[in-house]
Amino acid sequence: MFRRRLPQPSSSEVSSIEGDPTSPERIVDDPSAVEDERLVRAAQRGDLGAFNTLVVRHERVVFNVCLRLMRNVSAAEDATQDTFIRAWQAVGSFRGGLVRPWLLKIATNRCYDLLRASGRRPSGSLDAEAFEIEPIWSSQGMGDESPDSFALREELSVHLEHALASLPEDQRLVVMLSDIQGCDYDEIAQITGAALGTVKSRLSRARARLRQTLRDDATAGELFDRYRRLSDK
Amino acid sequence: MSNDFPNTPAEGGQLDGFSQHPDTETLSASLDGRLAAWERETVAMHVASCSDCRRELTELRATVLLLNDLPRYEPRRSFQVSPRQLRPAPGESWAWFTRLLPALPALRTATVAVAILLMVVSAGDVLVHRNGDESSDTTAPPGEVLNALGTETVQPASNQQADEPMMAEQDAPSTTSGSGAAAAGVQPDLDQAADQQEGGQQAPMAAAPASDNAVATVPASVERIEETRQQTEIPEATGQSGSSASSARNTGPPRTVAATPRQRPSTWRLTEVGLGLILLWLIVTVAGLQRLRRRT
Repeated sequence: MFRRRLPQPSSSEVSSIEGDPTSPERIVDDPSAVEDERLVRAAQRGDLGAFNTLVVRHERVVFNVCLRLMRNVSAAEDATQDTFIRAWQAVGSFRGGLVRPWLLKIATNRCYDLLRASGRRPSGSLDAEAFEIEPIWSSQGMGDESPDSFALREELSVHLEHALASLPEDQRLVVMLSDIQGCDYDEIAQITGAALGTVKSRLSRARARLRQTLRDDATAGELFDRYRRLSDK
Repeated sequence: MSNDFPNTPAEGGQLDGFSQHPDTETLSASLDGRLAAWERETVAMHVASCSDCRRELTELRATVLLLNDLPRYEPRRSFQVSPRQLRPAPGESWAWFTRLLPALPALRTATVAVAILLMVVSAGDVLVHRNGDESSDTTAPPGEVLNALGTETVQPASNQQADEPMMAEQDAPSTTSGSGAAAAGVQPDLDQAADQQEGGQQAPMAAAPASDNAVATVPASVERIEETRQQTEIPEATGQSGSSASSARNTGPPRTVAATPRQRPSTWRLTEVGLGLILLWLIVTVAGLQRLRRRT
């Protein structure tokens, strides 16, 4: 019924808990990372076409991170475009490794710069600034979810977005990167510049706080209980 | 965290005897598969027998699943970079700055080198200045002479400050006045000796205006005075060693200003200012580049 994307640990993954996120072994294991690396090398030689291929591969995730930080479509578009222009300008100093955390680091820094410049708090209330574009639900069109559970999830997501907006900035960024964008701990550590242990503790505190916020609200608590029972089956 | 577990297999702990509740961080890490095998087993065994921890774990899992399934948003347009976007906008000339990024290590080294060079030049300036002061204490108030040159003022020694203006007033010819008089009328004895050597050339110089002509004529006149002084062997100067400032101050003889100390400081000072400006630019550039590199 529910599409589970909780990571399944492998023995190699567990053994590399404290490993280097940009280690060559990791890149060699991942064909997508190998292709990214090839495109980056071409971009470093001045191939704008190769860089734009890289843009196409990563623009969705960069845009979504910017959108959740900026809470405004136009501002997120500007931040995303700035991210790729800055990435092109700095591609010469890219020292290898995974491209996605490198791009997301530029993106988050750019978003915080823009928010600071505009004097706005990141991720303000969703009431005031609803997204102007249609969301794409992960289970839409897959035919593996009942209408009831989809409605339940959609309703709960509104409460969850509110709960997310109330999180401290550092916890919100970590939980967004981990549980919404699917980054692993090492990537998050690289993006945020925090230690791996800090990432783990921020993530657990963020999840516990989100759970508590949902439970504290009467309506959301009831919906959450129903969802928990469904997801447990 | 894994460290929160008191009895690990390595310590000979019994997994089935584990009774401490794992904290939220451990439960959260277990959802992400970030526990070692023995930790995972320990948590699983504890959760199987503890309803509170089981509930907490299922709620955390439900929260993560909900977050996983939050909607994504498709961008309305592509963000591919065009050459037009890479050109700096009018008034925005920061693009060049990023090109300096690869040169950051070299700029750091240059900053240190320039700082050291500036220190060396400053030290040299101080030394030359001091030597210049010592060797120049032989004739008239240097402050007046330098004022006439339109450059810096050298303060006379404290015990001479009161005496020298008086001497200048008493001894100066009546034709000399203002700053132009400083060069010509500083030492009547020497003037007279110079007059004997060079006839009436002294008068036009004394009457020359203080501004531009003074700059050109005073160093030459001082050199002539020095030559005259050596030739005529003025009695007041004979009892003293040539460059001894302390003895000169103690006995209070008339002083002269050598030409070199008045000319060199400007070169030193210009070098120091130039190096200082270069150092400032380097510091600002390196700081900016470091900030840029952190962000990218």
